[in-house]
Amino acid sequence: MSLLEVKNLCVSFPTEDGVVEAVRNVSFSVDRGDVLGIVGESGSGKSVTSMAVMGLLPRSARITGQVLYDGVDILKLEQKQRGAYRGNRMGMIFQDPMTSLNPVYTIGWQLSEAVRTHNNISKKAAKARAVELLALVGIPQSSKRVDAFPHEFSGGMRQRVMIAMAMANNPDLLIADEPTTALDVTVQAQILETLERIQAESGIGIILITHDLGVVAGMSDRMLVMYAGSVVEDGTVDEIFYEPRMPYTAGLLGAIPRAGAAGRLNQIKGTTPSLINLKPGCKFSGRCPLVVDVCQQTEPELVPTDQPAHLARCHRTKDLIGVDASAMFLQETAG
Amino acid sequence: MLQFIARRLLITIPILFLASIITFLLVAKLGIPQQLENAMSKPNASPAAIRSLRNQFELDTPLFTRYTNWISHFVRGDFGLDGQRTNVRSDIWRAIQVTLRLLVFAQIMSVLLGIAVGLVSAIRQYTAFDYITTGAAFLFFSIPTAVLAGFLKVYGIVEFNRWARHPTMSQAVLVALLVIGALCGLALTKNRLRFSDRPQPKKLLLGVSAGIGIALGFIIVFKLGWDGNIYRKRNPKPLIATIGQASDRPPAEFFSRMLDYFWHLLGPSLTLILVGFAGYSRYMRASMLDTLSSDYVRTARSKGVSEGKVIFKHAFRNALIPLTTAVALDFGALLSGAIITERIFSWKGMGTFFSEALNLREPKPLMAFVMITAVMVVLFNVVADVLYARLDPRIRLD
Repeated sequence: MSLLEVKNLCVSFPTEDGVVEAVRNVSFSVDRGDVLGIVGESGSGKSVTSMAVMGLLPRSARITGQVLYDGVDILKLEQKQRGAYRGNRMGMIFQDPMTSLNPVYTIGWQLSEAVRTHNNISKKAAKARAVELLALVGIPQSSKRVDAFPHEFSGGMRQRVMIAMAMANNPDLLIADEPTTALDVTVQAQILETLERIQAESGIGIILITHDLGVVAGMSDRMLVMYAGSVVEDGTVDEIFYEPRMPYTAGLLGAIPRAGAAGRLNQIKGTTPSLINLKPGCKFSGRCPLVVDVCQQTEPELVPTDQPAHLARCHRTKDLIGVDASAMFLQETAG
Repeated sequence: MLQFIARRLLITIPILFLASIITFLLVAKLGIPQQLENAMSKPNASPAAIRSLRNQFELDTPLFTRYTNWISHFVRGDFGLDGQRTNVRSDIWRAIQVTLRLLVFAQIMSVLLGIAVGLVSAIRQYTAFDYITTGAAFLFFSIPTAVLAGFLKVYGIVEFNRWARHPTMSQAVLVALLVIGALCGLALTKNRLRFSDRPQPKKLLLGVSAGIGIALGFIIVFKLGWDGNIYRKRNPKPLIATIGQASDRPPAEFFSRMLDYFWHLLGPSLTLILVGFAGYSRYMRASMLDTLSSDYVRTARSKGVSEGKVIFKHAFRNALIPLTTAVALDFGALLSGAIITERIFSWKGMGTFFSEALNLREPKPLMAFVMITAVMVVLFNVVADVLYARLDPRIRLD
């Protein structure tokens, strides 16, 4: 039994213009010690998926499917029981550390709150734990810095505080939603290094959500590629990076700038489809260089490819074997 | 902090000095006082009387001397005499006491009501409560105070007093009360009225009928209770006063005197509370919605903190910061009185003091009024800054 198993998760939001189908039929699992990467562009449903797992979606969201945590379907729990998981057995860090901490309370207060919410301990003991946590994420002079306010910290330091807060109750699962997107590159590396060290020390499972393929390549074992609310490719990082079986993934990989490469950068033309009133067929068909009639009529299933643990959602998977698909996008751009 | 306050208070001196010059010039150019004009327009006006009046108002003194005369006395607390040779300081002090009694109460009530309503309508955004309070706030915010005060006085208080004596009401009033009851009942249901997955007409209907039921019950109980009411038989006076800040001869006993004050306070303060609540509730709602959707509130939720604590410790605490400064500034403007409301309910407060002084073009009372108001506004600006810094650690004063 996996630590976290998500089965057929669907999330939609009723709005004035219609129902937004933000996440459709997403399934994956994470174990202790795993790092699962989820990549995809903005609006692909990565964050909504993680918020659904955490239980942070607004009440207007319609959620179906199962989220099994140690075998318990936490979607079916009452609010109060659900709160016992959040911040206790699973922690989450967010994209923008500059605004993710409450400006009017000290770092120590906010860390203590995380500890005291789930443990019946004294304020003093919680504060001692806060100092310990700050030291854990590599903040120097933690016993002094614990009384500082968030605005006295830099972005990278604040993200460390967020990691400390998520780790406050030794969770088994950490969801990192674009943890380095808002930080500059040197700080990014430090934060990722901190995450890796904590993971090695505590053996937790991590879901790493990002649109930075480099981050995923460096940290994850398995990865999911999401597009327009559903998983389009699922496999190990090596499989997907070296032998993508879905044109979208191939296009993304081709769009990574490489040192020393000459010529124009690869691009995927067009934009993601609206998630209201989705058309039948493959959601990527409008932008795909390999599109054929069947792509526009029926949506492909997420099925095993020539590699058994590597799943892809594409009618033309077979045509991608042994082909540099990113070159197709390049021709398209040139022509 | 202390250094900041000292520095800010020092800066207020040149500001007030400038304000005094502008005030003085504006009042000096206002035209000759009404009293003098009356005296001159008499067909048999004696030149001696006119000269003595001109002397009294210092009309023939050069402007500069007049200014230095006035300001040197003013800073020592001597506000001068008005045309009737009464002391302006004791007059204005009496008006200030009356205004404070009315406005401090009304201001505190409207802030509390505004915060409570704004808070609930932000938490329950797009529910019946939200729509109904939004509607009410827009109504009270857009009605001119004069119309609202007049309406309340005639249809609220006078009619209520009549009804208290003879408990009969027209069908129109009955229907209006039942509609208000229905709206109140509806506001208490938790239904979302927008993007609703599962519309719950039963719950809506229940709310409406409960509201109507309570309103009807209240009317009937009141009617029955009032028939044998001892108060009505003992007191020939109407219950809620419409004129003045106290009875002509207020009761000597402390408790009944306070009660007398209260019944006089009800009409004008209700007017001011409705107007003030409208503004504050909208402000609070917007501020609260802002913080409720902020990243740190999401962080707090992700820690597993209970929803009540998320709302009060994280969202509400931050939403109060902009509201507090706005309220502090409004308190600074308090002493300028509520000119229209005071007039309609015949209160002799600062508003009435000012409008009478302006009508009579009395220089000393006018200048005293403007300067006292200016001092209060400047002082409460400092208070607002200090409060802001106390509430938000990101603001540093030094």
